[in-house]
Amino acid sequence: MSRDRDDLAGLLKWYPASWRDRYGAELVALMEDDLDGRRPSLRYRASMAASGMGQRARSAGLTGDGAAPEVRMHTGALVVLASWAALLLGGAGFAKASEHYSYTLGSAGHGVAVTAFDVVTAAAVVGAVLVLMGVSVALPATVRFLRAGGWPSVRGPVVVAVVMTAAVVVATVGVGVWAHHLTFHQRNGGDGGYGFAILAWVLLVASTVAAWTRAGIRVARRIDLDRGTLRVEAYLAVDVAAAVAVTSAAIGVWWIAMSDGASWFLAGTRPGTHPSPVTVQLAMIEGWLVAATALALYGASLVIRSLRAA
Amino acid sequence: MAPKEPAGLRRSNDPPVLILTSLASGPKHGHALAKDIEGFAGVHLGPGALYGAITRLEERGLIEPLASEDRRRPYRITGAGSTALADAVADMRRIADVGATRLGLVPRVLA
Repeated sequence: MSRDRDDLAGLLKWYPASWRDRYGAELVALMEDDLDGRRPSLRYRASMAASGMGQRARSAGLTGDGAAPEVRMHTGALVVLASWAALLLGGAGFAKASEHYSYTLGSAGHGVAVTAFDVVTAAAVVGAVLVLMGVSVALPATVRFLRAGGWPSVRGPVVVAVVMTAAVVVATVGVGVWAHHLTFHQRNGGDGGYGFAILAWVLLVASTVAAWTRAGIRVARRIDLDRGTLRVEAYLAVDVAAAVAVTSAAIGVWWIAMSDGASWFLAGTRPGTHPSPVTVQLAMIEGWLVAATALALYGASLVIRSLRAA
Repeated sequence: MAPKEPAGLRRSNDPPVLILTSLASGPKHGHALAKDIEGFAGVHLGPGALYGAITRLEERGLIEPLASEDRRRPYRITGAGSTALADAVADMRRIADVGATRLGLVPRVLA
């Protein structure tokens, strides 16, 4: 019986700690009554996991109106930060896909493509500046948190991010040295080993961005921001969300403009040919950016609603 | 005019409405609530859904826990909960009346 109860209590891990403290024992008792000695099925466990995750989202202010406006504001800002990280990854893919696109200038529609590319660059720079401003604003609270003994609670993700960054530096130097000994053709698909190394490098960079985002969110969830600072972060988050949306939209416009007169560039074929401009690579990038934008807008909507409620 | 949404209660099969309806007949703990709801509504609320709704109802002050030494803590409906349930029931009755009238299940009332 005790083992059964431990098994059921294990399902509570999906719920936030504060919720477990208040309702955990009652919920385990209910599961015991509900199952009447039977073991929980996979579907039962999945249902509990979904409920627990839903409660976590609610407690964090991601959904519903159960959390305080300040909590929802903070969470909304962190969602926008996560969307910015996603934009960085998609933007890196776009930077690679659009490399040397200016060689195609002169074809129809390029005025729009150039303008869209400039908008992408400007929006990305503005977004990066806004994110750095947000980090700066939160720095004093972060220092206070660390001085108060908060380091052990964030050490894990930060150490992982630092180690991964070191690995990126080493990998970048290695790939750079390798590339220096290859011809243009070998660097652009002619060498399978090099192509595999580049793919691994891209995955490492993406994982490192994700690791820093996780570390940043871990720290940000633990620091204590005063009301004024939180409002500044909230306004910055709304602006960053706008930058994410503008960047994604401008990349879409660039793609359309290039499709009109230089689909060969997008498809990687010879000039003068007219292949389909819809490449798997660009479609994946645009899909990723649309998802990042949706995340940014959701975070911004959380922030705006909580600003009105606060 | 858009129908009002009393205390976030919407449809008759919403877990919060079912829980308030069950507690209207007296305090109950989780398992008793689930059994009662299954009996009068034919809806089986799993533990996760039941306690998710209990959490929201308690946060809104529509139900409250009673002291208990057992892990099976009973809950009772509050005054605000009774008011919210009455509003929800009135809304459901209004819709049911319109549906019944349009289906010819009750004599149409002539002005």
